[in-house]
Amino acid sequence: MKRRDFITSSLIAGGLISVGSLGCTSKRETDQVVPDGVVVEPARQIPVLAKTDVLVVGGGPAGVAAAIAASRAGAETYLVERYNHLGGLWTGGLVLPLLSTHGTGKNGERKQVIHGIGGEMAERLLKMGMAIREVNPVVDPEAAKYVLDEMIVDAGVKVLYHTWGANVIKEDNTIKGVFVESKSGRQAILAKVVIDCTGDGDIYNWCGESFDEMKYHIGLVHRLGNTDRVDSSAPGFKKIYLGDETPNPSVRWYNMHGEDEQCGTDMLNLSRLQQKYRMEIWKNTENIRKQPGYEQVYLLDTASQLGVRASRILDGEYRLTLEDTMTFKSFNDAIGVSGAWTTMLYKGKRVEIKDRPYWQIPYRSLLPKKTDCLIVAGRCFCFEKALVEDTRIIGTCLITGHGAGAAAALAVKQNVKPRDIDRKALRKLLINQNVWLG
Amino acid sequence: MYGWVKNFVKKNLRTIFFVLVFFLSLPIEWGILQGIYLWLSPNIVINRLMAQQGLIFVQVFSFIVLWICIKRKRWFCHSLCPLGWCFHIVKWKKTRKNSIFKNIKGGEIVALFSIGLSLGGVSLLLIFDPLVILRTFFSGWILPVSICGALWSSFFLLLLILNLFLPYFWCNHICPLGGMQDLAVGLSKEPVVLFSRRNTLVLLAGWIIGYLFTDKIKIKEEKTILRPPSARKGSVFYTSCLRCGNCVDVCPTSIIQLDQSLDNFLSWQTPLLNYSKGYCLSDCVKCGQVCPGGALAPFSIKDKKYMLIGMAQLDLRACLLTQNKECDRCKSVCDYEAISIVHELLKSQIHIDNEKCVGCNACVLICPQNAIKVLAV
Repeated sequence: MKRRDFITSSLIAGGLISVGSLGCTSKRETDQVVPDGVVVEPARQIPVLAKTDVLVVGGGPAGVAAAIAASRAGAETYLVERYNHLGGLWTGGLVLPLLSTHGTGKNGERKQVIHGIGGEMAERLLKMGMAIREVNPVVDPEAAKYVLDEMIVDAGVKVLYHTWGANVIKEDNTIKGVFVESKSGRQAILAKVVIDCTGDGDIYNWCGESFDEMKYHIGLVHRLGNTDRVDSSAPGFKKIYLGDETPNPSVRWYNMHGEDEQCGTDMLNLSRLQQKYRMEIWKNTENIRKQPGYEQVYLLDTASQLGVRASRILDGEYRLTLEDTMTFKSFNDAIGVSGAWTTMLYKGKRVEIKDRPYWQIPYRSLLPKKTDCLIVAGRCFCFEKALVEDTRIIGTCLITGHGAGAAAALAVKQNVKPRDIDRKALRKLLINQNVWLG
Repeated sequence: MYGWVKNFVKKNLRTIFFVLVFFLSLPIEWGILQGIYLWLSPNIVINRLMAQQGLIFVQVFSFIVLWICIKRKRWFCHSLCPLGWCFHIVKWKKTRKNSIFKNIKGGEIVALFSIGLSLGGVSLLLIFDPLVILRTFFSGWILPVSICGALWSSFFLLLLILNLFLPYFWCNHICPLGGMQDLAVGLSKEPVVLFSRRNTLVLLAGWIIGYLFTDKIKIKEEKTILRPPSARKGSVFYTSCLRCGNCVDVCPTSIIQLDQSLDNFLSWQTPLLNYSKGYCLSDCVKCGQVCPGGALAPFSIKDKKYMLIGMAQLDLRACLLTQNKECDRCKSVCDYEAISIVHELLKSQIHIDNEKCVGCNACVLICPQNAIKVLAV
C-alpha cells in the first residue's frame, strides 16, 4: 500500500468511525436520558442463576429463620444477603440483645414464648457460653454469625452473600422471582414463593404494594474494647458509661438512640447519618480515653450497618393492632407468639412490662393485599404503628420469619398460592418445627 | 292495652322518673346519659344562662318542661320531681296529692334571688335545686366515701327529716325550682310583675351580692391541684360547680375524683384530677358535655390542645436516654407533638415543648423510669 493510500483510507475509516460513534452517542442520549432527571434502562437479557422453590431476600434474623424453616420443611431454598454474614442488625448491626423472648400468660405467669428456630439459636449460643442470661439474652455477634451459618448449612440452604435484591420479576399479580445484583452482574433467580425479609420491604415496594412510611430514630451501635482495664484507683477517677455488658468480659456494646424522625430508605440521608455517627463515636471514644483511668479503652468496631428501626410498614391482609396484643387475641392462623419488652399505654392505663401479655401473630398479617406468591417477614409486616416497639424486635422477627418460611414450603408442597394454604397443615408443620403457638 | 299503659304512665310518671334518676345516678358507665336528667330543670338552665356560661343542646328539653309548667301549674312538682316523690314516701301525716301545694310563698323570692346572684356571676344557689340535691346525695357515695361527701349527701337526709315535721315545707316555701314555675306562670299572665317593687329589689340585691361575692372574695386557689381540662379559672369554678359528680362518673380513664380534703370548704366535692393510674385521653370531651353548672365548659376535640391542665416536667437524671438506653415511649404517646428528641454527640435528650404540652399525663404514665411529673400551673 502506498503511503498516500494508507493516509486516505485511514482518514476515511477514522471519519466513518467518528461519524458512527457520534451517531451512536447522540442516539443513546435521546433514548436514555429523559429531560426531567430520569434515565431509561435499555431492555436486556438477564441470565437465570437458579430456579428454586423458595427464595428469601435478606439474611437478617427473619430471613435466616425463614430459609431454615423452608429448607427443613423440604423446599429447595435460596437466601440472598447483601453483607458477608447472616443475622443482619442482630450481628452486623451489633444490636446484641434478643428481646421479647418472654411474655406474660393469662394467669400472670411469665414464660418463654420464642421457641422454634429462634429458640434453637439462643439455646446454642447459651450452650457455647456466647450469650448472657436466658431471658432477653445478649449474644456475641461473631458467635451468632457462626451459629447462623452452621444452622443454614445444616439445613441445606443455598446462600448468596454479597448480593443485593435489585428488582422483582412479576407476571400480572404474581411474583416469579427476583433480579439480584452482585460482582457477577445482574442475574435472575426464579422461585415459586418469594419471602421479603429485607426489613425495609424493598420487595413489596417493587411489587407496587401500598405501605405506610414510618420515620423513626436511626442510630449506629459500636463496641468498646478493654473496658475491664479501667483503672479505678487513678487520681480523679470518675465513673462513666461505657456501654452494656456482652459475653466478652473486655467488650461492651454502646447503643445509640440517634437522630429522630429519619427516613430509613433515603440513601443520601443514610450516608449523611453514617458519616456523622462515625465521627461522633470517634470523638466520644477520644473523650473517654482522656478521662483518668480510661486510657486503655479503645473503639473496637462500629456496626456494619445503620440501625434503621422502622421504615416501610406493609398494608397487608390484616393489620395487627395494639388491642390484639393486649387481649390474648387468638387467631386461627397464628404462626407464633411474641413477648414484650417495654411499658405500653392501653385504654388510658399503663401496662407494665411484667404484665404485658404475650401475643399471637396471624399469618394473614404477613400477606400483601395484591401480590401473589409473596410473603413478608421481619420488621416490615402489617401492624399498627403503636406496636412498632414490639414488632421491630429481633425476637418477633425470628417468629415471623419462621412462620413465613414454613408457610412458603407448605405452599410449594401443596402446589397452591401462599394465600390459599391449609391453615391447619401450617399449624401442624409449625408445631412439628417446635414453634409455640400459645 | 295502649290506654292502660298510658294511664299507668300518667299516674306513676313521678315514680318512673325517680327510678330513672336513681339508675342514671349510679356509678355505671352511662356515657353522655350520666345525670342527663339535670338538664331537665329550667332552674339550672336559666341560672346558667344568666351567668353567661353557654348552653348545650340537650338543655332545650328544659324549655319544653318550662312551657308545660306555664300551661299546668307546678307540673314539674306533680309529675317529675324525684325529691317530691321522696317527700311523698317519707312522711307521717297523710296528705292527699292534690292538697300538697297550698300556701305557696317564698319560692319565687328564692328563685329571683338565685337569678340575681347568677347575673352577678355566682350561681351558687343552684345547689338548692331538687335535682341537684338528689344528684349530690348520690355523688356523696362515690367511692371512696369521705367526710365531705357524707356532709354533702346529708343535706338530702336533713330535708327528709324536716319533711317529717313540716310536710312539703321545702317545696312550698324554699325550692327555687318551684318558685321559678310560679314566677313563670305569673310572668306569662302579667309580664309587668317582674318590675314590681319586691321583685326588682330581690333581683337587684341578688345581683349586687353576687357581684360583690365574685369580686371581693378571692378564693385561695391551691397551686398543686390539677383540674379537668376545661375547668373555669378562679372563683367561678367553685360557684358554678354543682358537686354533682357527673364528670367523675363519665370519665373513661377514671382520673377525675371529687376533692375530699377538708382544708378548703369551697373546694369540697369539686372535681380534681388524680393522675396516678390514668391520663386525659386526647379524643375525649365527655366531662365538658355532662357538666350542668358550666364549671367545666363544653369543648370540642379540636379545642383540646389549647386546654391547659398542667405542665409536664422531666427529671433528666432519671431519663433512660441520659443513661444511653434506648427509649422513646413518652414521645410515642404524646398526641400533642410536645415531645421531641434532640440528638447530639451520641447522647439524645428529651425536650418538652411548654407551648404544646397540655399536661395530659400520657408520658408520665408510660415512662418506664417515672422520670416525668405533671405540675399544676
